[in-house]
Amino acid sequence: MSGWFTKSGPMQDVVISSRVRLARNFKSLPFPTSENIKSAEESISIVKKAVDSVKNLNFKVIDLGSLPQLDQEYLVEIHMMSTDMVGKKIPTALVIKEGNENLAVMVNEEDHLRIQSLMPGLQLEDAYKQCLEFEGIAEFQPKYAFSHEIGYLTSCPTNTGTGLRASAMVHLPALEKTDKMESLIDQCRKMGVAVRGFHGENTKSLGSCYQISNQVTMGFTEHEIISGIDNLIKNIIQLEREARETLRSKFGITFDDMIFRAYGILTNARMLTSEEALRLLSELKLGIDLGMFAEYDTTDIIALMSNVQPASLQKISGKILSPGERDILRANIIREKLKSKTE
Amino acid sequence: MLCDRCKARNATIRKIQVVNFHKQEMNLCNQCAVELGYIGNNIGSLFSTLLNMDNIYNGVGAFDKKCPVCNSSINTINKTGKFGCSECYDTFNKEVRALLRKIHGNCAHKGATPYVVAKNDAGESIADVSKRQMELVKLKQLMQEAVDSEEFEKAAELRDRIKAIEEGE
Ligand SMILES: [Zn+2]
Ligand SMILES: [Zn+2]
Repeated sequence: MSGWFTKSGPMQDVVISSRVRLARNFKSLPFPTSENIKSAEESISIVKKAVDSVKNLNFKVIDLGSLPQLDQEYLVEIHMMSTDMVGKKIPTALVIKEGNENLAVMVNEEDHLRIQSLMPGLQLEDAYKQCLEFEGIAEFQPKYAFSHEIGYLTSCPTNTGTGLRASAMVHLPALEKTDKMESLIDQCRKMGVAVRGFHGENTKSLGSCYQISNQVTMGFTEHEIISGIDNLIKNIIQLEREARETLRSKFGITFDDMIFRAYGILTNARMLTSEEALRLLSELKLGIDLGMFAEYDTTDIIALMSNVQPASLQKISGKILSPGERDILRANIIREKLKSKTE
Repeated sequence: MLCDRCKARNATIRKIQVVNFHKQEMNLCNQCAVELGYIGNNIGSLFSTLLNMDNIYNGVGAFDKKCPVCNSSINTINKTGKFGCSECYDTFNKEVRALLRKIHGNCAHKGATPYVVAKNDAGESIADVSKRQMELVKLKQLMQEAVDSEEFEKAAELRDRIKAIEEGE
């Protein structure tokens, strides 16, 4: 599995990925939150039956209980499933589509189905369409829990209605460095939009990555929610691009020096912790997006950001590694990848 | 004043704590206060506020009610912030609607509907299936078959029909 993050997508200078998630439950079965093993098994078998009935669509159901821990952690790292899926008391499964790395359906997470599609760059509308394809096939017996007044019924009332969460992972180093994040987060919050740091604190996220998503799932059509987030992201892209230009013209050689130092360490270090690697890769990405390194593609850096996470590294090396061994392998992978492009 | 904990956001809440007989003052931003559990921001606490109000007005509480399918009570839902099954929405109908209004600002679904209710000649509902979705699945199967048997013209035609349905929603 090469992963969605190795592909390029529109506006990747700012938007790393787009994700759409639909929450659905089967009528007449208790939600997975009730931790009833029998009904959890039943929802998996409903999914298997539905998938079997459309064999040529190439969906594949993976029982997570039979998957090694490391593989599960890897799936979490590449955002194909949530942490909550690891070590659950009830049976869980993941549906993937062969030949399509974007789609992943969690069975028995908080809802019977969490249909999600992840796409590189800004492609929310397309991600939504991919979710619908699975939504359509799984809608057999029993039907989805739905009320005409309040929509799709979900285990948590924050998802009731459309069950739709549209989100984008954005890289905002310049807005961060110019201290604009707090007011941006504030404005988003007032619009009912959540901003979360990818790693660490909210206003200073490691690697300058933030996840932006709708909070409200009811009272709007799916299209309104998706285009609302899409428009907001486009505005943020504009702001970030302007801030990058400002940064560069204001700080001139100091700015270039920061980027080249990051490049220097990344191409020479023999050991890199996950934090350091993410911070430096984020700075290098900023330089690449401003046209400073013609030999690199921003997608290369996004793939590296994903590949140097702990479980991904161990998956690449095929064995369990100590943190020290990981730091060495991480440095090697980054160094080799960056050098291979200059030869 | 900056928040004592994250040192990034403005402090909006003053929290006075007594630790080992010493009074300690902490100035926190809203988010840190939530994260430390000083102020509630979870669904559970939203629920209890609503229900307490309800109790005052009605005299009797919803606290004794239990969902006939999953046996959840307001108490258990309060604890987890999650419903046990879709029937809970009916059982605690009034409370749920108040809660949804509080979370989403409304409680009227405007999005997609899964089923087109098919009716028989007598006007009785006989099936709840999404015609659009079933149609799409069927067309996609046909398209795959056409590709497999190398009938590319037919496949292209099917692809256009699929596209038209997907865009015409
Ligand atoms: Zn704080
Ligand atoms: Zn229930």
